[in-house]
Amino acid sequence: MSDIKVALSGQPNCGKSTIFNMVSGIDQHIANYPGVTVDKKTGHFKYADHKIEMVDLPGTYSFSSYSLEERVAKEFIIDESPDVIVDVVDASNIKRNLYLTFQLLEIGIPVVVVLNMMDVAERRGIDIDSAKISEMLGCKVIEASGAKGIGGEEIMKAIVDTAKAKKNYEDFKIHYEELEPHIKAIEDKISDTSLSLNKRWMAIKVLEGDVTILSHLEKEFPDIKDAADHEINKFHSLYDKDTVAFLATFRYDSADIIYHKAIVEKNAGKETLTDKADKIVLNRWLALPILFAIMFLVYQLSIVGGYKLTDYTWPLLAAVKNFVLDISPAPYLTDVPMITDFALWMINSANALMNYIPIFFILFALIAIMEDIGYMPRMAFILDRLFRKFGLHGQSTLPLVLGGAFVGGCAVPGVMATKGIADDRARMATILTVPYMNCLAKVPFYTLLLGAFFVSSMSLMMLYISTVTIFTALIASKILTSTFLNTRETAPFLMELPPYHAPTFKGVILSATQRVWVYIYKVLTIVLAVAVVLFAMLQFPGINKDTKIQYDKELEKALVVFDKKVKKSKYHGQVDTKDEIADLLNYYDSYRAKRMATTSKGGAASIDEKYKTKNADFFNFIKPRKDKEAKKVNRALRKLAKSRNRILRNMKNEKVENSLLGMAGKSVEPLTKYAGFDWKINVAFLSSFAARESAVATLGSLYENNQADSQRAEEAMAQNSGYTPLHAVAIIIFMLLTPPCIATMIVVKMQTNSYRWMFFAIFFPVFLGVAISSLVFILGSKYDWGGVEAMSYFYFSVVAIALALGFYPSKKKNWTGGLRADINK
Amino acid sequence: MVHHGEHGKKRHGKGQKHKRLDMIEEGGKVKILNIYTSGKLMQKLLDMGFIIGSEIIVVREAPLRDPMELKIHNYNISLRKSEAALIEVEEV
Repeated sequence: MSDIKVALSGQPNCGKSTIFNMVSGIDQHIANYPGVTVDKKTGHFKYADHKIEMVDLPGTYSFSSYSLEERVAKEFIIDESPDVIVDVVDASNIKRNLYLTFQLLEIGIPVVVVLNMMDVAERRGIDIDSAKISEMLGCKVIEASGAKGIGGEEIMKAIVDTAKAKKNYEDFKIHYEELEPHIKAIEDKISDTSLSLNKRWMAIKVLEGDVTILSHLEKEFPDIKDAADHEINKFHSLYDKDTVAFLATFRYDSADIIYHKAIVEKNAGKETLTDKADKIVLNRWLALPILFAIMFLVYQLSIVGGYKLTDYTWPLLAAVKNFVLDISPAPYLTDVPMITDFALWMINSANALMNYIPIFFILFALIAIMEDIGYMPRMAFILDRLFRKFGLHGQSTLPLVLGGAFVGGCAVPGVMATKGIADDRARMATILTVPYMNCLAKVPFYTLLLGAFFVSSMSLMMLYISTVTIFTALIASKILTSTFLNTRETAPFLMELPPYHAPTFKGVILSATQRVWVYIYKVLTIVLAVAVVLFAMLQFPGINKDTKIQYDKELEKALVVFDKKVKKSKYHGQVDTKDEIADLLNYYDSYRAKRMATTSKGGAASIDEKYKTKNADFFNFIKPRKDKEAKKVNRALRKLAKSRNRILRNMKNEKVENSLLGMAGKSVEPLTKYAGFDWKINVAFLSSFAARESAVATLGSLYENNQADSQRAEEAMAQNSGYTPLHAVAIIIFMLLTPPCIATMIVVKMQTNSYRWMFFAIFFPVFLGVAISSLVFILGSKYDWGGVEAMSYFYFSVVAIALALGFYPSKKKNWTGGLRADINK
Repeated sequence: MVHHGEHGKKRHGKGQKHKRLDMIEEGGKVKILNIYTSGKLMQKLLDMGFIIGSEIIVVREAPLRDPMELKIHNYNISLRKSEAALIEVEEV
């Protein structure tokens, strides 16, 4: 009948999300809290005619205002005033959890306490008298186990019952003894506030110096801060006590009273399973090997295994592409309708990103498993000392590995995995350095260049390329944290190492699906929008009329050759008009595309059948078998198709050169020439921004030799570009430092919640890339370095700088004052 | 109860009863006497249960010797040595 709004609160690691998933099912909605990047999950369900809306607040240890999560949670309580707060308490760690419970009770909104993980508590020999706790706190206390699916009904019932009895709710009050007069003084001051919140709670928060509450009250009482300071100082001078510490101590003492009255620990002091496991996992000698093994496994399963899976999913995407091509207007010889070109471009852009979904799904599932188990904070514990030296955090490990700390990863999940890093500066530094890792799509680009210029020293170069990234990332992070990010908020490193828990299948799948969906929904839509812009930049102004006539002549020539050959066949009558030839070419192309998308024998047979019924005569030309006359047509057709493709490719290259993007590539040539880049490389880099894959495609087509069609792209590039290996090294260095693709930019925007940082993430690496590749190229040209030589110098300089920064003690001057400099003079 | 301001290293040298938390070896059991900090770090320490009088067991050091793992109020937490140095303890 009536709607009930519920806020779900609890400390981190209390199993809040398993309770949320159990109660709200899969009817969940994820958004962000306004203005911040904290996830806001909302679930809807019905119970006894009541519609219940449940909002999952971020997990917080306390309700002060020092962390972003706490501010967000408090803002929600203030702005939305929920009817009931459900407080999830970890039954196996009840004392510290009750500390938050007391703070929630004080808010003045009815609370339902859920004792979660009762099964774990039982296993550990912890006896909990929940009726006693309920009596002592004056609220409903429900025993549950989210992981085992126990207690869902009871929680819903308790919510409804508590909401119904709201009128009979008596405010919960802790008697703070000597602080009471000061609370009263503030309460009196704000007695005529228009805020509908509990006044006593606000008064207590004011005495805690809570910025959220203070800023709300300041609108009505401009001098509230002075009044607060006055009371705080008075309390300090009377009792030599600090209000913040006093309140915290009082709450812990209250939790202690409940702990002693309602809980019996039979196995207190005994070693738990987690303690035993940590003796191995966090062992001084075993911890690092185990961590590397786990990272390697994650990498193998997701990036390598997921890549193999794309062999099976790619035909699906190819089928979509073929379908779109089928319904687009067909080309007429060398006249390809723009709408067809456009459809192909869009579908290629989408497919390039969709292709990664299997990888992402496995990756996100594995991350969810590691989060559920509790390995993430342990990883941070093991590596914190190393990363801290570079302004990063122990929790930066995973994002960097996903970004491609080995051979190739992807910055998108890497940046998305930075969400949990508590320290804002380290989190920002991680977001901005993950794109320096080697993304999977860069690998074919390196392979192309290495194949063209470094055939004999390919493995050494690949080793350089794949290991230099972590050092560049560390240097970049050190530079960023001591300059641009210097003023960002840092958080104290107090990190809980929670007991190990088995992950739930439902939770893992839900989490992975939700994150993949975010990727599809947010990234793909924007990438497609950018793809439209890029398409226009590549299309206009197009090729001029004179050259078009030139290409038409070439086509005529090819048609004449075709006709001459086909004349000898008895089927000449079927292919002696332009229309017929155009149809045949389209038929041939579409057959080949479909055939390539299938791998099974049965699939091939059914395609053959389909094309036979479509046009039996044409099919005879494509698959002549023993028909000698048809074979003649077949040979001529293949030659004609090749000629036509060559003409189309040349037209495309000319179009690119004349296009807006081509002009852009040419216009930055004066700047990039110091690094040895000509406009072709510039265009490849510009187009690679849409998706890395297209860099290889663009370069490949720009350098393809017009005469010898069988030449591989590597050979073509080595012969036709006029580059030396030094050029190639400059290009590789730029690619190593180059800005992330659009997809990454969008997640950077999502995670930093700022376009400024997004643009910074683009231009800083570009600047760095141009500067360093120019330096190497200029020095290399001057001293006549070979390619491998130049790369070695680059590599060892980077490693040396990183090590120097790491060993250089990061001592900070943390005092101020003394004689002022101007007086000293 | 809680003093703000600079804490002098002189007051707790080795061999004395009062020590800094970062000096306690693995397996050591101590009680918090004082916390010399304020602001955000103080609030965070209080929230995590670092209340005067609370007992702490030093569980282990990380493989790279920093941070350290502690047991307090029957749960495990890790803390950098730079922060542990602000907590004055006595062995029990």
